[in-house]
Amino acid sequence: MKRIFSFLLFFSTVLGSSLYAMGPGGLQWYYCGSRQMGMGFSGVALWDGLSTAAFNPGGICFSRRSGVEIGSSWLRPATTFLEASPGIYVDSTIIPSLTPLFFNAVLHVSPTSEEKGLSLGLSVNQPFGTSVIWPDNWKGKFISQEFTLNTYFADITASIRLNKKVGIGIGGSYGAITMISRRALRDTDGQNLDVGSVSMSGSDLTWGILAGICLRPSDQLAISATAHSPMRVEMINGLADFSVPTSLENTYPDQSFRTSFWLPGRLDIGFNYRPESRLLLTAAINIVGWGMWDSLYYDLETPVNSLTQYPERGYRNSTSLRAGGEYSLSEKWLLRSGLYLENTPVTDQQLSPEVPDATSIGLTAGLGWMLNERFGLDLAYQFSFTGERSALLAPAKFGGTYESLLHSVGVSMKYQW
Amino acid sequence: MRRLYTWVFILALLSASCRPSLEIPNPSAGILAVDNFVAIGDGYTAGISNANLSDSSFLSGWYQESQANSFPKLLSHQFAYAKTLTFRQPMLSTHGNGHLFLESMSQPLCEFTSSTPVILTEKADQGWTESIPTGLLGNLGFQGLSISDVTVPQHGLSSPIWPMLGGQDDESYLQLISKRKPGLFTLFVGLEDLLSFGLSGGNMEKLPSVGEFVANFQQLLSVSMEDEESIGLIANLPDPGNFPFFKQIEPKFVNIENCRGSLNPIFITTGLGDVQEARDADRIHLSVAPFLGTDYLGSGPFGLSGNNPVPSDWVIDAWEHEMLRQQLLAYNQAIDSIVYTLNAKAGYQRLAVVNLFQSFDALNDGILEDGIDLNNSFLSGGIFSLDGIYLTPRGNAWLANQFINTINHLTSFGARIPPLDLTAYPGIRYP
Repeated sequence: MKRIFSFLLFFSTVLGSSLYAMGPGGLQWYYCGSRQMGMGFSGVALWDGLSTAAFNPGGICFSRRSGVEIGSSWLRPATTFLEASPGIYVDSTIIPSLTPLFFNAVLHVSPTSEEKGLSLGLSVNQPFGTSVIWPDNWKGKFISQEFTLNTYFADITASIRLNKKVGIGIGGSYGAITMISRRALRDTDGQNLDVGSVSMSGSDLTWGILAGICLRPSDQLAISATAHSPMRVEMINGLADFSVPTSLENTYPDQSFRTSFWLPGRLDIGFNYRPESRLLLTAAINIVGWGMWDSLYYDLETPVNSLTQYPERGYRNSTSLRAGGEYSLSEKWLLRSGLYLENTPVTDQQLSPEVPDATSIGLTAGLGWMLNERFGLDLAYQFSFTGERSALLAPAKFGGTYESLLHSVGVSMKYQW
Repeated sequence: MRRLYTWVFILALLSASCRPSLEIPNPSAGILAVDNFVAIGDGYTAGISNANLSDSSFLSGWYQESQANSFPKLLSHQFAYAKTLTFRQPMLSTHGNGHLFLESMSQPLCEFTSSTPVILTEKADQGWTESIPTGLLGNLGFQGLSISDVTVPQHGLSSPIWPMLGGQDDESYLQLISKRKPGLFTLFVGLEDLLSFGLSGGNMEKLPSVGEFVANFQQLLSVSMEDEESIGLIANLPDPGNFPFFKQIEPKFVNIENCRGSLNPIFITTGLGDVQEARDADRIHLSVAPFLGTDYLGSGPFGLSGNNPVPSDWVIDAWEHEMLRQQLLAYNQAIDSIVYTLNAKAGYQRLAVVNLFQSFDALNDGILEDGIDLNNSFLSGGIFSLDGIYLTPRGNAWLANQFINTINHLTSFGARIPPLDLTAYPGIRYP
């Protein structure tokens, strides 16, 4: 235990110099395993376990047994906004209940020898998601009242053990994305003090590829790299639903819209180190290609004057650093902990309340319980916070101080054979 | 047991802090006596909105809701964050002295045309003048007050509003203020004079000379500053020629026949009596819009032919507008120098100029705040009410913020007043 703490202490000191600035709750999600969650999502190089189906295509073939795992997390993200001084306007998002689900399966196809083997992995998960819902009448309503994004993907991977030390994997990712964006329309105030608004919803199917390599130079050490390709989203039949006073229905007809953007690609690099049989230490770096998220523009069939859009996003690529540990208390009980720093892709001049992002620090804890060789349960808890961030959405002249935090719990059960 | 503890721990964390809390800065009034705040001025100060300008008495648009959103009332809201205060306005009935309202938007005639507003008038309430104030009023905005009026003795008979402001017969507006002794005041006068000029189609007699303006302005200031510690926020004058009532009609008219649009120049009569095509710099009254192209006033489509031009009374031509601008710039210069002199005399900043000329000027290109764009377009601009001259609640909130920004920028006031949230105030109300 002492070593875990000294390791975490070291890690946090290293990070200490760069603390500040993807915020709790969105957009990139790693909720594909409660064991991973307990370890700060740092198990990219974990090769023994069912979450390899999602995190480590190269490592699937090293997994000791075949098995299935199902689980979910319960996220409670919240953001508070305070306008710039001397203003005193303050408001918070309505806390949504987000429950990303996951299902992981590992199947060893050919008899696994020390030297060669073929395995298949399947992971159904939600790699991106967010739901930022502000009160309908809040100050930023003309920019965003709600932004909800959901994704459901299935990653199917073939993993080959080339020799005792090298495994590789390649797969395809196929899935659906749905999006809702809601905001108030200026100059559509009704008699009853309600403001006109538009809700834009759309969906699309898309696909990508993932590939990875897992190296095990020794029994103690593993190094893995996994790449997820970016995925193109083209919503061609989105629905723009206007709710306006009766007299303006001609001016704001319901209609279809199109929009397109890239879900960013990602490169994960991870390290596993097992200094002694009861202790496992993990570390990982994620580099996420948010730089491709440069704009989000809704192209309406009949353009509407006062649908003010602020399409520029100008995101930068972002990096996350993670570390975690797992300690076996006994045959049955495992204790986990993790720490991470997620750097924000959003610049200080482009921060929209739609995705009020900020660099965040996360702390996690987890508990594993094995009933027997085959059946197990995992629990995890995550707390993440951003600290105060003063930023502006320059094109809308909307700024202030944001602060976010996230509580979430995860649970999963697994069966291996 | 261990699992139980884990769950208790998790639940405790979840309930402890679900939302981040940010520290809200403390508003402060500094040296401003916000609890003795008095607003001095004309219809803008009174809170006129949706006024029926064709009403022969020129009294319209003063009613409960418009008054609740007068910029002085909104200012007092914000002042109240810094210090407890009571701010009284004259008592008004629901529809007060009557006002315009938007009844509907007509169906667009053709695919490429837009809906046009159907604006009707709500009549004045019976006996709207009957209430006499019981306490000291904070809002002394006097609808129709021109700068030359301030010295003139008023009578309840000739001006039904006068008693509602607490004015006695034979008392002048100056005396009314002198009785009141404000600790903090806003002074925004002169706009009604510019408006009379514009509404009369450029009658030069409506514009007081700079000499008269200065003399009366100085008198207004001296009665407002009778309390030796009073502090004043002095508004300079915007150019009403850019208000939608004068600016909205383009010099070219889209004439629609069988859903084929053609651009017709509008013909106007200038102040000198010449009939000519309207230019960009000419300002045509918005009230003319419904009649353009009809048989109004005789033969030929009204306003669209040289035979039936828009009469000069309904136009400020380019030259007249230039005169108006010259005059108002001279007024504004005078305001600057009066304020400068009085501050120098006091030895500290007792008076601050609120640069409304600049603020309203920015509306020509449009401004952006909190994700809303605001401009001087009719209906959609968000600032001006159905009359095209007075403000919507959102416009008044924006105007109040000009005063608040001036206060907050002057460090010598030592005040921190939170600005109004424009998004919380409606623009035009659509049925």
